[in-house]
Amino acid sequence: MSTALEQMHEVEPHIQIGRARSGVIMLIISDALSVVAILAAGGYLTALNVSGQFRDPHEHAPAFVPGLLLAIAMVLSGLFYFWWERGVKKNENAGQPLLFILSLLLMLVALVGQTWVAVTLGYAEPFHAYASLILLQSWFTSVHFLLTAIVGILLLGRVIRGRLVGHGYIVEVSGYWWYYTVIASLLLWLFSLLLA
Amino acid sequence: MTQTRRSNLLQALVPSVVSGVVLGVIGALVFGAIIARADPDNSDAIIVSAYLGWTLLFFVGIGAFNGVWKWGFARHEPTADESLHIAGHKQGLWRYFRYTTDHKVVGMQYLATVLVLFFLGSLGAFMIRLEQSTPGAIFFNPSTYNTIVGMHGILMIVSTIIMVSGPFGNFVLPIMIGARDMAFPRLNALSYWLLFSAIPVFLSTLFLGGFPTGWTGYAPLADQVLTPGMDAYCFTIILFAISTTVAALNIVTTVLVMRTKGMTLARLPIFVWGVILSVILGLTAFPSFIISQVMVLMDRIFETSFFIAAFGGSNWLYEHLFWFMGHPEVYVIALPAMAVAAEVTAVFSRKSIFGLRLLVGSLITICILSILVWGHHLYTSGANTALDGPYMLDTELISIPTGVFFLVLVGTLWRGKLWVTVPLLFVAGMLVNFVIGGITGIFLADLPTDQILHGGMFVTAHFHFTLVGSMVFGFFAGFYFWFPKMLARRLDPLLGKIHFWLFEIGFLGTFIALFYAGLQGEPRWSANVAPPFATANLIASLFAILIAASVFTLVYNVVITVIRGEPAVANEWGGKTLEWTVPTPVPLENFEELPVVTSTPYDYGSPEPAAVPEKTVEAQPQLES
Amino acid sequence: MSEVNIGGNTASTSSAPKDVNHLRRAVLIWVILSIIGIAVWIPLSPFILPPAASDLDVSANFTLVVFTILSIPVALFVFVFLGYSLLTFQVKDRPVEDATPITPRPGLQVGWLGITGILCLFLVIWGMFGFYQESVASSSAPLVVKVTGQQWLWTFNYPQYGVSSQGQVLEIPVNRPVQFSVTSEDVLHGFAIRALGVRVDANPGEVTTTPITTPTQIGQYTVVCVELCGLYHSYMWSAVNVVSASEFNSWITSQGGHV
Repeated sequence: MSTALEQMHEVEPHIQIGRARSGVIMLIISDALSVVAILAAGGYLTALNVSGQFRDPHEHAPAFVPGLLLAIAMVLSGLFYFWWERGVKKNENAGQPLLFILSLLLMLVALVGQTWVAVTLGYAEPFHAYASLILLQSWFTSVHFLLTAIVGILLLGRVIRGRLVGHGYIVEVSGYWWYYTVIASLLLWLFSLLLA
Repeated sequence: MTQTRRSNLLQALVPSVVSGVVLGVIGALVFGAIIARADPDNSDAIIVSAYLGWTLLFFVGIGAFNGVWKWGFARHEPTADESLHIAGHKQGLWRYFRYTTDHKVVGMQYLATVLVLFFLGSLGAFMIRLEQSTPGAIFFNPSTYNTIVGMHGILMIVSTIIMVSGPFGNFVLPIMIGARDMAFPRLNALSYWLLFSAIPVFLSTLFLGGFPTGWTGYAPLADQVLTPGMDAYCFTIILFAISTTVAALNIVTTVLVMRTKGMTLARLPIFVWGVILSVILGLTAFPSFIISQVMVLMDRIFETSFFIAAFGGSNWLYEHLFWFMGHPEVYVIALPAMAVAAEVTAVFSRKSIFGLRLLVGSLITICILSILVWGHHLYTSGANTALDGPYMLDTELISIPTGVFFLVLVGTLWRGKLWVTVPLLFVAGMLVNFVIGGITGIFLADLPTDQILHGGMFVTAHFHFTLVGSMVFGFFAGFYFWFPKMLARRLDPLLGKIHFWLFEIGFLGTFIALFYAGLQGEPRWSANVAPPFATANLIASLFAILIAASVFTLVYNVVITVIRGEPAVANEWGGKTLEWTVPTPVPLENFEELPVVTSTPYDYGSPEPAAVPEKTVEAQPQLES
Repeated sequence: MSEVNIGGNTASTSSAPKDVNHLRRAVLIWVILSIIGIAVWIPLSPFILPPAASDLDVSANFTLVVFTILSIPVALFVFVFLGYSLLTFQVKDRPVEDATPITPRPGLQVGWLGITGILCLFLVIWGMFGFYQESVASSSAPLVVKVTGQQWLWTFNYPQYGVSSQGQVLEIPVNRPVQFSVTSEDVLHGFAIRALGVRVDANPGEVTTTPITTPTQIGQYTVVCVELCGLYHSYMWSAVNVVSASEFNSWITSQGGHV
């Protein structure tokens, strides 16, 4: 009887890995569908151009360079994470923490940068559909970065406490979300470039 | 109070729902005040930031972030004692008021909440029938009436989405697959408390002027300044959608990785199929709903124009985003209830489910097809899509797997040994009502008939026949079926039968009268019923009194059973799924030894037990005499 | 802990009549009730459906009648077999032994799928045909009425005559094809005239059109709003007068238009 109770919250390793993968993948699917919804909304409103008012002449596209810099930061962050993950897989320890710290730093920089971009878009009320979509896309991306940064900080905690040894799957599965954030942000950036 | 009692009380209260609510209210006031300083004229911004403050600090107060923080920064993995404590071990009734991870606790919390939400939604329904019993907006002014309609709708939609997956998907499902708990126990608690936190947000609309859009929240009506009460609707939806997303990934992961030895997919009980298909559907459907509400809030707070035609927005965008969720959503509601009905029918026919694999295939087909039909809600929107034809084809096609459901259930009953208990009565009622609901759905699916029926009471009667007459009946079948296992008491069967007959007769009378009114052309959402439709509405309202009586019968039955009901035995009905092999009340760890499954739970008529515990070979649970 | 049996007459419980009898009996009951049901529905239908005042509405009502005729045996199938099972195979108190499972004959399942499939196909074809008929129903240029919905009233314009109706009355001549061109000033509304069988949403910033319909009966009907549009949604009625051609022309002139 007592062994059963103690077994209760100790889950076998292969189940731990399986459930982590399953959970994060489904979370990604759900989030990806909301990205699709935003993209679809953009395409739809562009096509409809209701009352010919989709875009006000004063509503300029967002500045190219800041977006480019953020995209580069994203790709670099993903790359550093990937190299860190490779190290963890090879050695089954915490890998090279510096790589992860760099990845996280880039994510934090991107968070600040994206928020700055969203705040300084410079559209005037009332916003037409175009500006509305750009605003949504910008803030959505910012929130994404925030969520990923939070995951990163928690991961950092684990690295500091040395609790990644034997739990290498956490790095792999968190990586799914990390790469997804990178890809989703690039997609949304592309969307903002292509929108009308 | 002595020192220890004070510290005990403090330990019980913090963290708990009490500390959550207290902090949440403080959070709402603080956040609201900050924005009120920054942007005093923007009442929508103030309200929504108050909601944000409520939500964030509620979860801080109830201790939801403790686990998150510990995941990252604790010095060691959770010990067995810590896990047991957060699972509610040795906390008595308090565990229901805390962030408890035990799936049985979460299941009970959901059950209580569902019943309360149903009750509140029913009050709304009776107020609607009262107003519609005679022409003219006499009892309520039009603004109040529209809010009542909207609140009734959302309370019922929210309840029906979670009514089977919440209580029974949480309590019963893990035991049914031979697991000790869900895959993500902390996320389980999160999904429930997200739902809980949404309730005060939603009810706050009553103090903010209500909302005028009905349950669908159509924009641009939703964008109109009118009252800040609309923000309550939007924010509630966002919280609720996150709650169901979290629950969905928990349930699917649990079924994928936590099944006990021998529980192959082929031996999975039909109830589990119904629930996972439903939550997968929900997972795909709710993101577009969240985005639509975010857009409405942006329109309201920041004056964007997603839905304002004058600036390039379109109400069709809202309709697409909404119905992309809205149609699969009804199947999210339907699939678990249908699965419960199949489960119950097998037990009370003492017979295996007729065509089990066909049924599973049909449920999967319904799941897939339902994602592709949302356009039928836009037939008469004027968005003349060339896709109207394909939408009609796909919608009609769903009738085929739905028809299989009837074949399977009737085939299970046919030549069975029928024990006509209250759960089986509700299944019978469900079958009768679902035929009518399904057939009238076909009428609406067809383009020429939808031309004259859309937006009328025919639609209302149709979806009440399906959602209430079929799915809520399915819920009650499950409720009476699993109540003895969950609460270790027996509900009074006579009161149960009275509940059923009052409900069914009242329901049929009310909504057949409304079908007639719909055929005659009565529009929906009528505070002011036109004189040609007055008689039909009066008859509907009179029959609704029977429904009200049935609700009070249920309440009375539940209350007296909880207070002084007969204790139930472990296997009340002679069922063969795994939950009936564990003791009642169910111990914290569910199973002493995890069972090994050797066949489906529907092998009635076979002498072999369906499952054996790993170590000892127990005889099949004896039927009680 | 026995459950009191429900449903008065306990039919045979312990004796085992041959299965074939059960099936035949149930099918017979089903056939007879279906015939009665259809025979009752057909004469009853004009009293349940409102009078149809246009070719489109006549066609739509006819579709409703036909679909109901098809539905009666489908619904009765479930009711009869369900009721028969509940009454005949009921066991008093809790059963002590299991029933023998029915081996699913593939023929039954395939047959069921086949029949429901054919029914479904029939409905789809009927619907597509009706839809097609609506979309091509154009003759000589129809009377165009521009409808504008707003919170909470309808206004009607006759651009071909230069008339705008005062006091939201819709006046149209009998036996002349008419088409409604609908828009909204503010939020979503739904423009519907049950008796004429037309219905389309009024969307702000868009113009949507109903199919062309020809009123066939002189009389008074109603426009209602069928999309919730706020406070006075259920007061958003307008009268529809279908009048003779000459009356219509004099009405046009009286409103200041030119025929």
